[in-house]
Amino acid sequence: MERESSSNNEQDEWSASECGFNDPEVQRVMRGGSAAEDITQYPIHGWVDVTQEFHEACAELLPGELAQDMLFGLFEAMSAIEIMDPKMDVGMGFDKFDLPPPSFEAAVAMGAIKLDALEPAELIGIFDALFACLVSWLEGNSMDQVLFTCLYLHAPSQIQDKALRVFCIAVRNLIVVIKNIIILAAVNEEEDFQLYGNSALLAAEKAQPATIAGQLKDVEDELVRKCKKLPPAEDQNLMAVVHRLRFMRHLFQAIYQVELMASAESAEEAVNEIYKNLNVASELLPLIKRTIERGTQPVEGSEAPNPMGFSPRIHDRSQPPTFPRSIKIRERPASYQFLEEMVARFKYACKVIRHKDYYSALVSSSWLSSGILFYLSCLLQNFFIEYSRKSGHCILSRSVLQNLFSSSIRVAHGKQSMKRFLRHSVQAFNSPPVLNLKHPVASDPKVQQHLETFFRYCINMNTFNQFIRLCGFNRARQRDKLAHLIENFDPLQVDAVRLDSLMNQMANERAMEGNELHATALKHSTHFSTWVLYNCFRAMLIYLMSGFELELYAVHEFLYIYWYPYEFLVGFLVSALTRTENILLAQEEYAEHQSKMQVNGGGGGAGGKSRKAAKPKKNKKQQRPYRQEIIYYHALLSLCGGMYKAMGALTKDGRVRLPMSKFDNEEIRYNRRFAPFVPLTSPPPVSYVEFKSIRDHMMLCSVEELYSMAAKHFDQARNVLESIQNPEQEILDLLQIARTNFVVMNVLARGHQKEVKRQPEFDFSKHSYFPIMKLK
Amino acid sequence: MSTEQPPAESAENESKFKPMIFTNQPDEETDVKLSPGRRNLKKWLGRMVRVTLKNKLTLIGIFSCTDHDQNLVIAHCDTFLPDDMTALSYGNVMVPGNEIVAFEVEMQQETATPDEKKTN
Repeated sequence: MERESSSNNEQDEWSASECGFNDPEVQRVMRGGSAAEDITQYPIHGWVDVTQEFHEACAELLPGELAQDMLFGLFEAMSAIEIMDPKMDVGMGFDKFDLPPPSFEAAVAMGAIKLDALEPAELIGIFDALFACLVSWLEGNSMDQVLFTCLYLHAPSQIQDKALRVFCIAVRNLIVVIKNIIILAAVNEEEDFQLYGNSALLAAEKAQPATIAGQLKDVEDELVRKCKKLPPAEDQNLMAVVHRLRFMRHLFQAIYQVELMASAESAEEAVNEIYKNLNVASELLPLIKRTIERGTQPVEGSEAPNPMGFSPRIHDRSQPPTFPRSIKIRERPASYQFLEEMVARFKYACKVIRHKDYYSALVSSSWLSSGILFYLSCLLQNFFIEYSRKSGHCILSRSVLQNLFSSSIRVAHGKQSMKRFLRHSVQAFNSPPVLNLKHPVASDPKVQQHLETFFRYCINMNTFNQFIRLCGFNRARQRDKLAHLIENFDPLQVDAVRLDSLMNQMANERAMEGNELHATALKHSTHFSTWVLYNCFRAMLIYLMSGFELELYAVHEFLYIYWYPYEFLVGFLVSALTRTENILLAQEEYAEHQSKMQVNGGGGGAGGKSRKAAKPKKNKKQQRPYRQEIIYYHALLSLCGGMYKAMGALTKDGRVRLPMSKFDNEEIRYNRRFAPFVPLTSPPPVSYVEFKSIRDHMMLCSVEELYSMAAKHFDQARNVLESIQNPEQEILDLLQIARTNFVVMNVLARGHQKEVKRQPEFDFSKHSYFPIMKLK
Repeated sequence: MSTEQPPAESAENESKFKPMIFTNQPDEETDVKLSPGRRNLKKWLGRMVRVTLKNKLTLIGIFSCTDHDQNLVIAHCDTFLPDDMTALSYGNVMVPGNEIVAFEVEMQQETATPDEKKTN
């Protein structure tokens, strides 16, 4: 306030505000004296109404002209909430409801909510609305704005109606349990889930999750008895109430047991118990969905999810200022749909954990069955990747899997769980004899020491752990975190290579000593480096391809995105797998004829040329553990090649819209897309210049040639995919993509639509990595 | 490629929009040249203002920015419901110009007599 009056006579001095303190916090302190300024001190001088002058003054400004406070900048402008905007503003709509939102006590006093003798229809309405709130909470809304708009949840113990009371207590306990699970898994981000809410409300009544199931069961039994006394035509509504209570009981039990797993003795038993509960819950859901309309329905135009018991704006004024205000609670049928899918995902998660136990039990028994082992461990990791794709935005599903996994490996392997898990992972991948406890070489102290160092290093780097954890995050964050994870693989690779060479060195020493058995076991070992590389390649591939799913790439960028896996990544994966397969086969052979072994036949890890290695020895087909995966990657290779050449052809044909050249710098974009791969020494980064020369070479061909080359790739992919027996849905989808694109490429090669240079449509709806190209 | 383009086209691509900003930075020389309305705005900027909206919501905060259409940005804004003295803190707020009913500035009323100083 003094600034203006003093500015005249203190022209030589800098006032504080002129010194460029643009930080809003500083600004605030300077202006108000303290950050927690008391608004009630105003007016100090008095309010002067200048409305008219203000109108006139603003009218003098030119369109686009701004009058600004000197401390006001872009940052402040961006952080401003638009008042009266329905999405941002709490004030919006307050005048629609003249009365302040009633609290629980007020509502009881007014007689707006019933505490006793609720009709079945009312119960169904409230239960359905609460499930809808629960789902909305899991979708990322604040629990205050969804669940705690239900006044009944504020004080369940005061409710006399037993069914409602027990249900409300169950919901409150469920909130606590779900929160714990999500906190424990720690794969949530602010956009997924609001951890914070009105915990003061939760604290008022003690949580006793262990008693919930019993209480629910009692009420159920009571209601069922009541049902039996009613004439058969009238018991329908009451049975619908019972179904909801029962569903709640089983869902609660399942989720509660996931939380308990953290301290459980036997993982298998717990998982079986969870699975049983989930089964019952999923059987109840169709019954519940059919009776939704038996309950009271929300009033048209009202924000409350149910006419009685909800007060949608009760917490509006207790939320932080910039909090989203307008909450849409899910519709009831959609909520049950969500729950149904969630239960199905939980069941799926349980299944793999059971597999997982099976697998760890197998590991100790025999190393000859490594094929199955690998399949299972592969299943586990693929599973995590797959699961992450399916569960998408459901934070609870993702958290549950993480918890099931971490507690089951803890139970399976005890204290040193991660080290054991990693050992098993390598063993399952390529079964190095040094990890096989029955093999005499495993007890060699020197070998043990080296292994110990390597695994400790792996654990300290935390890379593998993170890879699995990472799959729990939502897809966008996953990609972000993968970029950092890939970097970590580099030191691991260095260490794994060192370990391998140490093993080879020791093989020579043992051979000199005449210890033939140990020498062969140690010789030609590339086990560990292959294992690390394989994982690294996969992380890279997921990183690159997830950009399609997240719609990050522009069409004109597709060319180099597909080029990289075609030229390098997928090929590397195939050769890593082929090499591993050869090692395994060689080991098996060696075990079969202990004396006459032909290790040099293929065990040498000579970096077998992928295309040749997959085909020979037809009689060994069943024993080739990687066959499926190699075939799959071959198909990916052809598809990537097809897309790469197709993009080249379309670009040359002038069918791809390119950015205006003066705004464009392809090198920068290229470098940015592959930035996370730069720190890796293996595979070495590929510079833009290299890419450019390869592309320019390809572009020498005529457009027609390019189209037919692309068609050839798609044809190859089709052939490979068709050879897969009992294909999964993904394979069938890829097959359709390969077929359609083959036809499109052929059509274009023949000069169809030669005059109209329209960009084809890229439809990623069948598969997140590969589009179907559509000519308009 | 970019060099081939004639210079005339690049001039065409340039935005015709020239941002014009004046602040309440003390500057005697330009102050004289400003129109009376702008001088008024300059006087009010950075002060506490009380704005009443069409829906009777009252906002109190620091007047930070405005434009031709009377859109306002108010920093450290508190809102009051009618007949309710409890403030709700909002942070920075953008108010659409067409919602404003009354605009009051917290300052000494230069022209008014001492009795009218406290209008509230």
